[in-house]
Amino acid sequence: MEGKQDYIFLKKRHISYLRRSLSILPSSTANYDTSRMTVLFFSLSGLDILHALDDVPEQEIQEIVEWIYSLQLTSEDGYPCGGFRGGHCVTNVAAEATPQDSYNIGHSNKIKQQTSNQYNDHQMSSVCQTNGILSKNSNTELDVRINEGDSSIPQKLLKMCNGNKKKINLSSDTNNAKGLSNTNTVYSKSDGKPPFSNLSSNQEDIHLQFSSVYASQSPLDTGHIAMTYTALASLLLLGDDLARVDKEAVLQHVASLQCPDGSFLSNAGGSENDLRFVYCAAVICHILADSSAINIDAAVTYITDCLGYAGALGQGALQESHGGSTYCGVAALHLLGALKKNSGNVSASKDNDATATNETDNATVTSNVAANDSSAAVAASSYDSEADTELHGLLSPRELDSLVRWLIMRQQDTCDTTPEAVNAREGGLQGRPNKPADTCYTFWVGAALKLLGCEHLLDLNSLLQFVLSTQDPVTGGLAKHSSSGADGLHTYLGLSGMAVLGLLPLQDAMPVDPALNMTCRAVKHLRDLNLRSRR
Amino acid sequence: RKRRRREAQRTQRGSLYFCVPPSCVASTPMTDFEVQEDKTMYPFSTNPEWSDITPLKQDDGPNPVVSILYSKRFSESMDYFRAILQKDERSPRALRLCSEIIDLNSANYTAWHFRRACLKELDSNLTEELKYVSEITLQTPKNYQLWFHRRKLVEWLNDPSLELEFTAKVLESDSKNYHVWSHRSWVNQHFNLWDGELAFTKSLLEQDLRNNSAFNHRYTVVKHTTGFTREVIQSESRFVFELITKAPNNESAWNYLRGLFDTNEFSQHDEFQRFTEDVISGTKSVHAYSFLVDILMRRKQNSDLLRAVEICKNLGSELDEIRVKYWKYVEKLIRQQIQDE
Repeated sequence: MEGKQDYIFLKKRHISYLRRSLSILPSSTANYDTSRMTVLFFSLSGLDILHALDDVPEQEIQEIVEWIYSLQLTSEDGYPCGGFRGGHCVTNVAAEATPQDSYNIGHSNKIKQQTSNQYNDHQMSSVCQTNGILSKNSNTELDVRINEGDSSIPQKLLKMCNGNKKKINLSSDTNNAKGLSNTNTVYSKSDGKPPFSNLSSNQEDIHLQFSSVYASQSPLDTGHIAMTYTALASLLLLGDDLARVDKEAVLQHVASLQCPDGSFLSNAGGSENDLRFVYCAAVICHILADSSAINIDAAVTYITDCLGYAGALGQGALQESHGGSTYCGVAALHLLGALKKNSGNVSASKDNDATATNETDNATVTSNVAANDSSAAVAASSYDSEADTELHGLLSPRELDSLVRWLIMRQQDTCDTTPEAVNAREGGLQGRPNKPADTCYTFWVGAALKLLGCEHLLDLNSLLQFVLSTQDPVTGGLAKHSSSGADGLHTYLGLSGMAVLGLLPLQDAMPVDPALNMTCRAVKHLRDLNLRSRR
Repeated sequence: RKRRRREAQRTQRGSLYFCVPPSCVASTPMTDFEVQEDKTMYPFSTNPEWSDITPLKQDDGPNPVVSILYSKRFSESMDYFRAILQKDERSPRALRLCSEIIDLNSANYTAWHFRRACLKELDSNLTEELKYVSEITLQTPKNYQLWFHRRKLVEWLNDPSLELEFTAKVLESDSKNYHVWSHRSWVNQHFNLWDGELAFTKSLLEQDLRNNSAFNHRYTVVKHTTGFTREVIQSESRFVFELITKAPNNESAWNYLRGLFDTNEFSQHDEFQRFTEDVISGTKSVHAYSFLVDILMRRKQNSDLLRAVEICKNLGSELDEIRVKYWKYVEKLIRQQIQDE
């Protein structure tokens, strides 16, 4: 490292970059059209970290809040399965409902009012994710067995399934069950118990409860789990009280996206299922302080099944251990563990005490815990292994050791010589063994280590220098490595990673909660809201 | 300079998912990103085929934020797409319109979904559709929607016959593309197609013995076929020993070896240890030493644990200085273990 100059943190440039992306993005970002909500989150959260959110004029803040809410699907508007969209691509495409075909595009954004009145809350909360299964020309192997005489099964749905009693054949899908595509599987959550007791077993007859309300809804204009998560997070960052969030609809939306193997899809139109969306689901439930929408045990099983031979987590069972999926799994376990612990316990507040304290060598950070919070003492401790009992209960000591080892090994001790990363400084974090270091893993790997209480084992100085070397001195923002151009994702995760690890002085960067990926200030706001709503 | 600007464009065009794209940037080639001149339907406003459609503009609200400066072609194409969605017109021209939208924004999952609806409605030739997906794959090889769509097609066709060859081909341009490996793995499992998979991973490792994805796939293959029997562990460890000999500090190989070691049932600790000791006698491989630490820690005898402590000290002070704090931490754990005995 001799002869190499230390980089300067270009705070003002990054603030400019983030302010710009808050308003206008160039045409080359057309790929972000369905995920503008995430770009918004990156910008807002990035500004918040840099103490610059307060500089955004109040009027602009309100406009942003309005824009976010304009993307919400509410029961009132006819979307019992709600959530938020990522952009306005198809929000004004509305038509009449014709529920017979699951590829019911653009035609049943509005459900028929009478349908929703027929079923009680319990039925409404049992949601069936249908994806192709009810289509006329379904090629899927699954049939549906319905318990005749069960008055909770809507007649319309029986008709949809040709009114016959069919048997669910899982054997063709059990091979898929572990972490792979389940998008053609009908799933029902009830009583919080896993809908399928043993995913690797033979055929089972499954009795299902359908929500015809959901089944008649269009899979076209729906919420997207990642957009719902970033919408809620953005609202919190803006100081919104979430009063206009249709909580029930959001929970219905999340519930409807869970697969039999415990993982989640991203949207009702169908998608891949993996740890990213498990994480989204966990954060949403945490923000809304309500875990009734998800089958926590199934989700936890899915996550732990993602542990690979190398010691970390892939996107699904037996998939390659990867920094991003490892973060999603570890953070989700943390959040789900807390949710499980506190479910039904109205007075418990541990689940909302997710504050991060960056106890670095040269700075002590006071946690942003409310003074009258009785769990202040617990919350004030950093994420160390002893305190994080939820995580410990779910992973064995050996698994934890292997996980920490794998994460610590992500730090590169040599200069990368791959063409993409030429001139990259050592000290950066990679996403997988033998891959080039990349700024975004500062967060994925760094925050995962933080949750495991081991972030201080990294060489923080060289990591900082690597991240700073990826700054774009002209446009501001950060890139994946020094020879690439800046983009929103790397800018945000670079900043957030540095903040989680306490790599920057406090006046430059606010501490960030590693599980929620938001400033502690935003987390405190959330906690205040939840405390308030309990009274 | 030019290269940097080009890189910047490439980054910004990349398919975005807010987190965990294995690579955050789609490696779009700098050649023509547009649908070819003679195939595009744009401009729709003057295209007689579309004269019956009134375009539906996006309603972004009165004060939009994170506004994308859409190109004219993008805006108009989306306006017509919205109009078609509103009509729920699942026609051949709608299918072609989906191609346009996908070409402009391959991450538009609504376009992919509607495309599937059209395919079903029109009872389209799915083999042709698979060909289309294959053709556009190299433009956006890290796009989640594209690979999900491909999976659906293969499911509907119930025909995996092209998949192994196709994934192998895509891996030629990026041998570690996570999506490709996931897809291949899914094909193997869904159709129970395992013949030649082990050999496939071997050939990839022959090209690049640092290919972590190939190692992972190998593990998956063994798990689903023979399982980790005594014989298999023996042959697999021989295989890895050879690769380690060629590159003694290759983490991917050592991780795989540790994976074999951890299967526990037939953990031939002695043989693994002998090999590792052999390696460190010749080179200063960090991963060899760290594996030895793991082996010794399992032993639980004081002499072994004390030796592990010494290795940690050596790693922290000399061999793996960047992780000095970590090795001190491991040393502490081992000392704790000694004390507990």
